[in-house]
Amino acid sequence: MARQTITITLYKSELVYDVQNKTYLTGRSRQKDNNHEDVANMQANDDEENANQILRSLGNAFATLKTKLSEYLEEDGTSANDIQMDGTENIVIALKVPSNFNPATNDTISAALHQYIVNTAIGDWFTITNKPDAADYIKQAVINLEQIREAVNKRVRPQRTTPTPPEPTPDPEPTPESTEEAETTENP
Amino acid sequence: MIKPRTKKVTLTFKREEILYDCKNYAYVEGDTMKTEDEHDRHQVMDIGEDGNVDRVTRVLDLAFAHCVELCYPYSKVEVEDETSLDDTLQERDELVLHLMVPDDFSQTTVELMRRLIHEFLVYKVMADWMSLTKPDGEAKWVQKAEMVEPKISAALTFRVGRVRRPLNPF
Repeated sequence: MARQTITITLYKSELVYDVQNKTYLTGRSRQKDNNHEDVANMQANDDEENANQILRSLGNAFATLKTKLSEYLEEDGTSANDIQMDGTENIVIALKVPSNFNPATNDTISAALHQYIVNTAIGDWFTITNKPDAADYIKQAVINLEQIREAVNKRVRPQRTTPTPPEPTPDPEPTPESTEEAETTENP
Repeated sequence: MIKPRTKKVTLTFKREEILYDCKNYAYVEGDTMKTEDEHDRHQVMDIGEDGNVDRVTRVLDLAFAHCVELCYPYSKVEVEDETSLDDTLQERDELVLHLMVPDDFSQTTVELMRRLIHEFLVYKVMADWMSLTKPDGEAKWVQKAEMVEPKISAALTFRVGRVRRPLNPF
C-alpha cells in the first residue's frame, strides 16, 4: 500500500517566542527582594549569546526527534555537520506514514513536536541559569516523546474498497433429479 | 470406458478481498491487544503496508498452491515436457482455481468450496503474520486453518446423484 506524507512545519519564531515567554514568566514568578540578576539571567532574550544557546538547543532537540521518528523519515545523504541551525529557517518534518495511519493525530503530533523542542531547549537553558527548574522541563520533554510515539503509531480500521460491486450469487435451487433421489444420494 | 470430464468450475479469489479480510482481522487483533505500547500494536495492524504485504503475498501464494493441490485430481494439470519456474515474487490480482469436476458435482458444493478456500487463505496469512508480530495470537489462526482444510478435502467427495458401483469390477 502506498505511503502518505505528512508535512509538519514548526516555525522557528513560534519556538523561540515560546522559550522566551516561558523563561520570562518563570523569572517573573521566581522574583524575590534581591535576586534581580538571577531573574534577568533566566529570562532568555534575543541577545546573541542567548539566541545562540537557544538555537543550539533547538537544533539538538530536532536531531533527537529525527532519531525517534526515523521509522517514518526518508532521508538520503552521506554527510552531516555541527553547524548551528539558522535563526530564520523553519523546521520541516516530512513523515512517511503507512496508508492506515490515523490522521486524527496530526494535530497531536504537531503540538507534541513543538512542546518537546521547547521543553528540551528550556531544560538546557535552565541547566545553566536556573538549575532547580531544569529537571521539570527535561521530564516534560520525555512525556512529550511518549505522546509523539503514541500518536504516530495510531492506526485506523481498513476501508473496504471494491472497484466493482460484486454480483449477488443466488442460492442454487435443487434440481428435480436430486430431489427425487435425495434419500439415495450421498449428498449431505 | 471412462468418459472424460466436461464440467469446468472456475473459482476466482480476489487479492483485494483477501487482503481486506486480513487487514480487518489484524486491526481487531491489534486493537484488543493488552499493551500500552502503540509500536507493538501498530506492527500487528500494519499487515497490508509496504514491505509487510510482500510477506503476505508469499504466504498467500503458498496457501493457494496448497489449496490447488488439495483439490487434486480435479485440479490436475499435467506437467509439460519442459517446465521452468523461479521464485520471483508476483502480486497477482486474482488467484484462479480451475477444476474439472464429475458430471454429478453439486453447485452447492462449489459454493461451499468457494467460501472454505477463501477462509483457508485468510487463516493461513493471519497465522503467519501473528507468528511474527503477536506470537501468542498465532495458535488460534493455525487451529482455524486446520479445521477448514479437511472440510475442503471432504467437499470434493460430495455428489448430487447416487454413486453407482458396478457389481463386476472387470
